[in-house]
Amino acid sequence: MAVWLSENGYDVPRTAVLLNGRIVPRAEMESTALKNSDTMEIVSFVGGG
Amino acid sequence: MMRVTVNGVLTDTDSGTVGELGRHLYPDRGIYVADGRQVGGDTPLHEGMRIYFGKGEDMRTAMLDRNDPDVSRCLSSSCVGIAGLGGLGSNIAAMLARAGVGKLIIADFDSVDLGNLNRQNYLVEDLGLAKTDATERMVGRISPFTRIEKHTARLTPDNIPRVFGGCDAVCEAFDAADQKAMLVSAVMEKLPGVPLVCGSGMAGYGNANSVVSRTVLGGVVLCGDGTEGRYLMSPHVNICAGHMADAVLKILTKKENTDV
Repeated sequence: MAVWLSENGYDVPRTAVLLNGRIVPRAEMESTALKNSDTMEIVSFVGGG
Repeated sequence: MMRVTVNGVLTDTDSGTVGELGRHLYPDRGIYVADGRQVGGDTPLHEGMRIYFGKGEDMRTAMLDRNDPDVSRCLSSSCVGIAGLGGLGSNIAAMLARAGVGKLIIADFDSVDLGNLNRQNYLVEDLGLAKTDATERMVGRISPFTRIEKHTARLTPDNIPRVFGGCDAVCEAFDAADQKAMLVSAVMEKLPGVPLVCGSGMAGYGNANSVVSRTVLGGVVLCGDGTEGRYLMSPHVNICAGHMADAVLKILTKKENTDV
């Protein structure tokens, strides 16, 4: 997942990802494998607050 | 013998505690506010202390009678977590206190510095204070009924469940984008069912209507204009903070509706 996100222009530490309806823990973003028909919702945060 | 101010009047007293003085001067009043905070009766008096003895229901009613009574009842029994007390968090805390939220759990590791005053809800006199302490003081001056739980520490995936467990809603109000993502992931993973409200994109000015609230990640409310910008200015940050505080009120009152 982390590789896919990077290759598609996302800055991984700034993203929160819902994979098939379940939040992906940050510690598992590197180790989570993607497969066909997975559904992802990616939120990419911008700084400021 | 010491001299204190009681309900605006300079008073000399031999009493040792706030409660002792209150029972003597205002036996019918059960709310004790000392130096801007609601305190217990066993709080020791000190020279120059500013004390207000109030009837609880009168003060609460006077403060909240612009709200729908059902809404006030619901908010006063609610607890909201605020992660980060910068431009978003310090202003959200003030708004939720004014609205009558009963308890705020506030967390920030930082202290107030000069670069904060352009947008954060602090005063020159707060410079150098921990933001948790400054926010506690600010909230106490707005609403002495609001209970505050402070965590002057850096939030991590490990301590987030302990800090915010039991909250009816949590506000993500960090500055750094990676910290925002960290908090959202940690709350969703470890505190499932706790509603989350986040801010993303609140830089610049002159584009007030660009701030919106929308639902992402299956239920997280995300407020902001979504646009990266270097310069944060008070109005736009406050608009985003207002969206977030409003979203919290909606969540808290919905909770009540589903309970009924």
